[in-house]
Parts: sequence; structure tokens; C-alpha cells
Amino acid sequence: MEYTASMTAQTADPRRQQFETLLQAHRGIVFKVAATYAAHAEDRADLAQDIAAQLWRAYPGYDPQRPFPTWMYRIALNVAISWLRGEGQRRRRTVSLDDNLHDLPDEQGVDVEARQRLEVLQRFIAALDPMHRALLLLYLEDRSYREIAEILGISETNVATRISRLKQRIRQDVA
Amino acid sequence: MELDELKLAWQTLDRRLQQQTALNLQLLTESRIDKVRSRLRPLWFGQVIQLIVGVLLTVAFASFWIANTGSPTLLASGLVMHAWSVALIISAVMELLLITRIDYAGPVLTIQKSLAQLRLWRTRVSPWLGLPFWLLWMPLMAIAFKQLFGVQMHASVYYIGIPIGIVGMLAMVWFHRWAHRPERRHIGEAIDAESAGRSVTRAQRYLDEIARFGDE
Repeated sequence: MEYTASMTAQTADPRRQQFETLLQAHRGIVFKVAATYAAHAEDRADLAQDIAAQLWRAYPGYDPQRPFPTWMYRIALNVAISWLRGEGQRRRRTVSLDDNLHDLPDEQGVDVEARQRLEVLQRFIAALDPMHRALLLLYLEDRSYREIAEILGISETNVATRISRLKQRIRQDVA
Repeated sequence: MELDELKLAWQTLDRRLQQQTALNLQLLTESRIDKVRSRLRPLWFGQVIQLIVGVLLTVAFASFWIANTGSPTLLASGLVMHAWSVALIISAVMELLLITRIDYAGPVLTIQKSLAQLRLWRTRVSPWLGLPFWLLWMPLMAIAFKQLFGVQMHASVYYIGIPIGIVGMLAMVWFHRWAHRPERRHIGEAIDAESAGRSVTRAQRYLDEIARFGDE
């Protein structure tokens, strides 16, 4: 695996080794957050790198008593939102949604219905503001309301209200 | 379509992302870590420079008034500029502390609030550091005249400069209040954006949206 290969030269530090193991186990979080906030393949890769580097930078402050994914989501989402709102606006490419879809490799045997659902999902995500994107991502990842509340810094009641409104919006916008 | 149906699409996206070879985490190179060290890095450096300049000016102005205790005008000039340079230091330290509080591992709303506090400080305090220069140019000139030419500035400069400076300052304060009235909010926002610094303004632009998100 390229990820592991890239790390081998730098694994002398036990703390770094421990971090790499954790990151490897939860790398899907990085990719999915990057895919939620960046449309172009190069931007997604760039954002994923930014998130990973920021995770490493923040790692000394990570409390092992707390769940690693929750900590990881917070940093990944904060980096992605900052990227979307700040520096990324200068760097990120302007691409159509169709281009965005073509960036993702085709999956063998993906039926037309699945592809259409994916298009609908990506259009819906693109139309959301950054905070609602985060909320939708966490919901689709089957995170509990409690965990979503902890990551976003809002109450569980607010999470429930927001998700309920998202559902209404989907019924209206994606009928 | 229901939200739950989107989960199926999300799973498809997940599988595709896992297949995508371009997304390799070749991280932890020093250049990459440097790159993301802080989104507020330019602001951080700006404040560090302000702090250094403030300290140097404080030392210079303090040396000046200590050496000129015999002349009330020069003593007053030195003390006034000394006070201003101390304010410059306090402002820089405050901003650096606020920037330090922005921790990416914190909840998103908390971080946005920290950015808002930082912006508030910059929009409210920065003008107060510049505004007194309607009057401060006179003690500054007095110090420069003494240091460069060894002479005192002519008293007539104060007779003309002080009334003009007071009128100018009052006009600026009035304009600031006028521009921030609700019906002219766009003018006030443009002024705030100019004084807040681009990196902080970008964060603030979305604060209302974030605040709405936090409201139940």
C-alpha cells in the first residue's frame, strides 16, 4: 500500500508510528470529509493531505481516553470548512458536478439506479452550507446524535431538529 | 427520495473512494506540515512584528523622555508616544492570545466563536490605535526634530495642529458611527473588513450562518 510505503522511512518515532496506525485504521474519515468538501480530484487529494498533516500537528494534544474518530472528525471538519471558506477558495478548481462524478473511478457492476442516487447525493451536498454538510456527513456515517453534538458543538436536541429539517429539505428538493 | 436512501448512495461513494488510488495519504513531510501550520499564520506573523516594533518603540520613547525631563514639551511628547507604543504591545499580545485559543481539535462552533472574538478585537481596537494619530503626529514630529536636528519644534505647530486634530478625530468618530447605522450597514461592513484583515474577515463572513446553525 502506497500509504504505508510512504511512511516507512519515518517510523522510527514510536509516537509517529502509533499515530500512523490510528490514521491507517480511520483513513476513510479523511477521504470522506475531503470528498464532501472538495469537488475536484486534485483538490480532494490536497485537502486530504492538509487534514492528515493537521491531525499529526494536533496529535500531541489528543487524549487517548477519548474516542479517536470523534477527535479526528472535529479536526477533519474544521480543516475542511476552513479550506472551503478560506485558502481553498483561491486554490480549488471550478468544475461541474458531472466532472466531479467522472473523477471518481467507476465501480464494476454499479447499476444505473445507484449512479443516479450518487449524482443526487453529490448535488444535494454541493447545495448545502459547510455546517449542514458536516451534519449530513456524520448522519450518513451513522454517528449517534450524541457524537454529532460533541463534534459540532451543538446540543443533541439541535442535532435532532437539524436532521429532521434536512429530511424535509430532501423531500422537497430531491423529489 | 428520503434521507435514508441517500445512505445507499453514500455507501457507493465510500466504495469508490476506497478504490481511488489518487487519494494516498503521503503525509508528514515537513513541507506539508509547515503548509498547514496555521490558517491564521499571516495574521500571527503580523502580530509578532507589531509586538517587536512595539517593544523597540517603547524602549526608544522611554529613553527619549528620560533624557528630556528638563523640557516639559519634550517630556510630554515622549510620554504620550510611550503610552501609544505600550498600547501597540497590548493589542499585539491580545491578538496573539486569541489566535492561540483557536484549536482545530475543538468543536466547530467554538472555533468559529474564537474567530469572531478575534475579529471583534481587531475591528474595535485597530481603529483606536490609528485614530489618535490625528494628534500624535505632533509629539512624534517633536521627537524627530529633537533627535534628527537637535532642535525643538515650533510651538505654532501645536496651535494649528491641535484644533485640526481634534476636529479630524471627532469627524472620524462621527463617520464611523454614521457608517455603522443599520440603514448603511454595507458601508460599515466594508470599513470593518478593511480594518479586520482578510484572513479574519473570511472567517467572520460565515459567523452569522454558524450562529444560526447553533440556534435551536
